[in-house]
Amino acid sequence: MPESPYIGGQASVPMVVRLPHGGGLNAGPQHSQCLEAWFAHIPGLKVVCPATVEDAYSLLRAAIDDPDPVIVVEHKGLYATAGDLPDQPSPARIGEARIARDGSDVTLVTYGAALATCIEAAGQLQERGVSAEVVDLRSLQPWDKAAVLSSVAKTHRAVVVHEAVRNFGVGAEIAAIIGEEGFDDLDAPVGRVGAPFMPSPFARSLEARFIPDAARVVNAALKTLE
Amino acid sequence: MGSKAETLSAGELVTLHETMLRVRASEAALAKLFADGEIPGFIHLSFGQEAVAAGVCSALDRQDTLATTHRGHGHVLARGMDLHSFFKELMGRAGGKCGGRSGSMHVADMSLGILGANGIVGASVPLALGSALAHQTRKTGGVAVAFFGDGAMAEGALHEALNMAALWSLPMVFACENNGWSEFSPTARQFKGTLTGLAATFGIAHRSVDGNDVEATALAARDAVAHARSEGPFVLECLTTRVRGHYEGDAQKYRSDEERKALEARDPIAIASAKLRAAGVAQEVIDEMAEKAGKSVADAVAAARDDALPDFEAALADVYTRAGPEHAR
Repeated sequence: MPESPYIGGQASVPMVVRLPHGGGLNAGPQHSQCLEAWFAHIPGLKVVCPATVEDAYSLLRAAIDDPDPVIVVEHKGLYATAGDLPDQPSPARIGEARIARDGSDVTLVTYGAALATCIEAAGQLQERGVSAEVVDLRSLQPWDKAAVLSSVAKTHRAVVVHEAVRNFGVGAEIAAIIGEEGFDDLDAPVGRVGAPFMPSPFARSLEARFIPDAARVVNAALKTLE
Repeated sequence: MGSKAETLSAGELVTLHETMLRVRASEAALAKLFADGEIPGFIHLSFGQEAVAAGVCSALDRQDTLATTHRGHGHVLARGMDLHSFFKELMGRAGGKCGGRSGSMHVADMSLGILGANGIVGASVPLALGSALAHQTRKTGGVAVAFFGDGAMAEGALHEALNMAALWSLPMVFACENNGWSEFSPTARQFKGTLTGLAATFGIAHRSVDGNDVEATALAARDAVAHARSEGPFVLECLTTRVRGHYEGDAQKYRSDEERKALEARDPIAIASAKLRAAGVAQEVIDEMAEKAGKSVADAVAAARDDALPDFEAALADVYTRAGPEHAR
């Protein structure tokens, strides 16, 4: 499927796969995984991950309009999110991020359900006098390198936040690119917040520690300011 | 199955023979090219299985589609793939149908409904299933054919596809080339059932045919394709022979001398030649056909040698679909 245009431009597969992911529902290892990095690693696939009601519509619409196979990663915890969809939802472009909150001291790069965690963390940071900018990636493959680098050029610090396990995750790619292409803008090493390297646990008490919360994001952001 | 023809005309047999000769001449050229280091990677040749390719593909209409295996040269050539773009592809040249990015195991020609050879055992089956669903949904009147080998009989993907094809009455032919060998293992060592038994389990019409008799295979394929077009899936098991190793260079130490000697008597081209002679076609005419096939192949090989090497930037640019109206749907 992902190799279709590659056979000499003879074909494309205009296919949309909706992929529920994420934990918080105490569903145990098989029904809580975040596998978006797997798909983002395959040349030929595109991967998007909405965080808002409007994007749930607009990114799915963009995926349907796209000539290539697109994996639409949907956090199960967000299915219960209520919100008004405008009569004319703004169209989304695959590969285009959005500044979810303006800030000047540190950039939090995130997507999906972790956006809410980052917004909460940004509020807590504000109370400590730290202004956090939150970038909602919306699209992971391709991802909006320009938006991220331009935010880092302003804040000089970055933390990448996702619910997927940290190791070999989307955050690793983004942190590496910020290091390679935004090195001169950085005042601190790029931080990464993700789940620990273990299968998603079932028990409420275990899962609560597994999924990154606002406190971990706050700590990682403060570390870049030390 | 009604009053259908039980034999083919001399003209039809000649056409089938020409197809088999084109496949045989191509495989012979590829064996030499591979031995001489002119083919990158590794290749799997279909000597002994030419009648299945010629017979099944002769039953297809223009709108029909097929997906095939790692041993798929015969199927794409019998479907009508141009020898020049075929050899350029396998020799890694710019003018190959897939721009030299696919090679033997992934060669595809969408203009002929060839969805591709496939490097994964059994993977042609779900691909053809999807194509069959597209035929049904879009009402194209087309049939999708999955070529697969007996090695795929133990694959879960085949079992799932049989279920879905039956459940949705898809216009699909499951064309199995049962040559008795799953790579290096006899089929009995890795599959407990039978393909026809599997088909029966799902209520799918099925038949086994001598896949080295091109006439019998072509007639059976006509019925299978007609059934798929009007009623639903059909499983056609073609009993055939793999003459060469799993891949070129395989010494086949796991096969007995007796088995290998017995292959000669089942050579599909020798069998078809005898039928042609019995139908009144002179040996000189048959020889001329072979000579002509050999010359077409030699021309294609020469053209491939002269062709440019592929452009890396162009390959990189085709990872995603380039803008174009034909890709929009």
